[in-house]
Amino acid sequence: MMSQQLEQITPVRRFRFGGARGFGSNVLPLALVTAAVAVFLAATQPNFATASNLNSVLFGVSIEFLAIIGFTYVMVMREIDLSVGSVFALTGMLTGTLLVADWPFWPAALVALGVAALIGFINGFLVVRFNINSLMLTIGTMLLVRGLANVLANSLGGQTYPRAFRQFARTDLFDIRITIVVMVVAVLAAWVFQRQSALFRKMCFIGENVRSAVLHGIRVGRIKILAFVLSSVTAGIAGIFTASRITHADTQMGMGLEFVMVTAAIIGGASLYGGRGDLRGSALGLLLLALVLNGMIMFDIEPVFQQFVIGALLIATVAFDTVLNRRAK
Amino acid sequence: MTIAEPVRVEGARPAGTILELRGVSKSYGAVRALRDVSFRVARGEVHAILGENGAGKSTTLKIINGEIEPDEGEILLAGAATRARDRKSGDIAMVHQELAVFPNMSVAENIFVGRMPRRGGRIDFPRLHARAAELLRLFGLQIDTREILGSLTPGQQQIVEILRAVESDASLLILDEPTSGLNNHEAETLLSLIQRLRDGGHTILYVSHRLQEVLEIADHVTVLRDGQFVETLRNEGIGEDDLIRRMVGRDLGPVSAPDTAALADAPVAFAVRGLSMAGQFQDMQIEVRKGEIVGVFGLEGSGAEQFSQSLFGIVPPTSGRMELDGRPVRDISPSALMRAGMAYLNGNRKEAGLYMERSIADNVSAPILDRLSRWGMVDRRQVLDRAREDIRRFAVRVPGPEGLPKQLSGGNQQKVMVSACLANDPRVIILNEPTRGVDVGAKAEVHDAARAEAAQGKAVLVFSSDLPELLRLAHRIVVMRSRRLAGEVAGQAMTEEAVMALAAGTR
Repeated sequence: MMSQQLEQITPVRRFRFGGARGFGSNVLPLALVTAAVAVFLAATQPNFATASNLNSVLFGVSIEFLAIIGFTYVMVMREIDLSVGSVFALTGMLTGTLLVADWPFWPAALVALGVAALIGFINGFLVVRFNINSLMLTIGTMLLVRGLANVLANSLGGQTYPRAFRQFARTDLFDIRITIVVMVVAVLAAWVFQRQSALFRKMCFIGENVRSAVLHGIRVGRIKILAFVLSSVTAGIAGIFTASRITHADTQMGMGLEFVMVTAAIIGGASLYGGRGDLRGSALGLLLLALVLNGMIMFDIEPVFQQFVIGALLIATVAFDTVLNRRAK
Repeated sequence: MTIAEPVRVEGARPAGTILELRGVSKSYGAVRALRDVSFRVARGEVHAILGENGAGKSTTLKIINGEIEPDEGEILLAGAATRARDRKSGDIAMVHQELAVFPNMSVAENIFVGRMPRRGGRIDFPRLHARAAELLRLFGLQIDTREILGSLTPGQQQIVEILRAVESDASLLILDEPTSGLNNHEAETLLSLIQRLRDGGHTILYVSHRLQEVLEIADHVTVLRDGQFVETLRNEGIGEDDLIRRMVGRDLGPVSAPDTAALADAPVAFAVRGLSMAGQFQDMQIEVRKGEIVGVFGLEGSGAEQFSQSLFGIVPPTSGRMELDGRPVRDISPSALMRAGMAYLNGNRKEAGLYMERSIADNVSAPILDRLSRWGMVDRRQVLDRAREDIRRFAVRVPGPEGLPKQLSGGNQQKVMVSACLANDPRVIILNEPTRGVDVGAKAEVHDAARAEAAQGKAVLVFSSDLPELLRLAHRIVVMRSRRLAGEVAGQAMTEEAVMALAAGTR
């Protein structure tokens, strides 16, 4: 009777943490697609495969990558943080403002990051304590923080940041931009974190069924707040590098970044329905988007179409995610 | 393989056959859900289908209702072969186990959804409510037809959903576990409605786990086991044991009376003192000794459900206190109580308690991740070893620890959930509806697990609406009524009558 029962059950696929199912969850196919796009661009555009172009694409991706670290893990728990773009702008500009006011670099950066952490804490606290839908809540925070950032931008006018700060993003480590080194290290760390850590498993449990997680004694509130704080802080760090890179306050800074993040994270294996997400995939997602936008410039496509492409990709990935999620149920 | 001849049922002449299945088989991928099933349903009878979870009942009903097409075999309606499409649009109405209602609309609108009486292109509301009221009266229900459905109890909502099927006036009515969400009073009203429908010429195909109920109202009982037809029995002079034997293919041994003498001296492991929650329950007192199984019984609305949830801090109580091993509990939250040695089994496994798309190993390790980790990193081999051990211990029918709960039958899912519940080696265990919607075999296994925990000196508190289950399992039963403690029965006095008398307030 026992063996008869056993044979009636379909053979199961191997199932791993970090999600072995779903769109882009396998890092390898995504890497192949990204490589294919790169090869195509290299073959058709002589300007693409130059050291300076590749360096600038990678540099841009590595800064955005910093911002997607916390964002990805917020999505694993079936929440979302759309305030990343604004926090990114505010933190960068606040650092710049303090530097213009003759603060030393580290205190300025730490204060700005403290503000970012506070915003993240408020996001997380409101989501946990009052069970507010994080999508709507963080749209609110996004607007609110954007307003604050614009105040800073106005007060700075067109003033450029001090020279030392402008050089900061160009710091090299082993002859490579430091953010690129950080990205490589973070991806390796994420690989270990997602494979082995108890915390990531708890995040997956929370994302898949938060009520089960509560029953199993997982401290849901604490972990969610932690992830929102992380999301704001990593966005803030990316904002500091970006402020340094663009050398002056700009109201357009980080505008629409949150949508690039959602698209890249879902391409990389995260889901709006929670329970999965992969920082390695998110990094590849950002790289893929950057290559597509870079290629559009190479093919002389009007820059106004960039938004169009991001929007189209966002719709496509979200639709894909939803269809796959429904099929899994 | 020869096609088995369906067992001929006396009195069910072919002319009087409304439905016949002939050699029906259905596979989902490698899973053979049904193999060569043949049986007949006579016109105007109540016909029950019984079987353990995974026996093929749901698949059979879906095929009859025309939701899926069988791989082999045919389904005859009134003697004529039919296709799934014909049956779907035909003379069959089915009430599914899960609620499918519109919580923001009125009772009347829910009953007549899609078939609203109209006049001059507009909905005729007076007639709508008059007809709905008539139906409700027939069912002996005191509900205002204008009431918003979401404000009713789940049991009442289920009844409204059944009335919707009744109203469609189909001659074959399929009810999939209609009483699983109902309290005893509502279940009885439903059973009397079914009898009235039969007298009115309807044929009712009925699936339930409550054997008593089946014996009470069914004319014939068809038993399925492992996707195969076992037998169609005439409901005359048969008892629960006859049905159980056919469902599981074995006898369930008699329970030995619990030895309560030794318990009197055991120390109190868990005590509840004056626990209250505003509007939900008041001044609850309970003591559970080491090695004791205490049942808590209350009809719907008695506050028993809320009480169980507040014991684990899911909805924290507003006043009162709890003691674990004589020490007061300071932080009543699930994570703190778990660290203090408590465990909680949720009453509804579809809602919470499992991660349907995570492996069995992940599921049973979820409550004890920190214990299985070092420096925050999980020892994956230990996780797999534990899962294998649990699978063996609870005889979960799954190829290995990598299997997913959603691929399992209800009974096996329940066993996985119980494993996860017991994973942190708790000293106090709260079980909610430990065997809701599971088959007879799994039920016995879950009961054995609870007894084994108690035998090891654990304190077990069982909340169940299944009174026979509590009578078999518990050393004593605490009864709640009207959001208060109504009394307690133990030992020889522990009978169904005594408990019901306390719960329903006749004493």
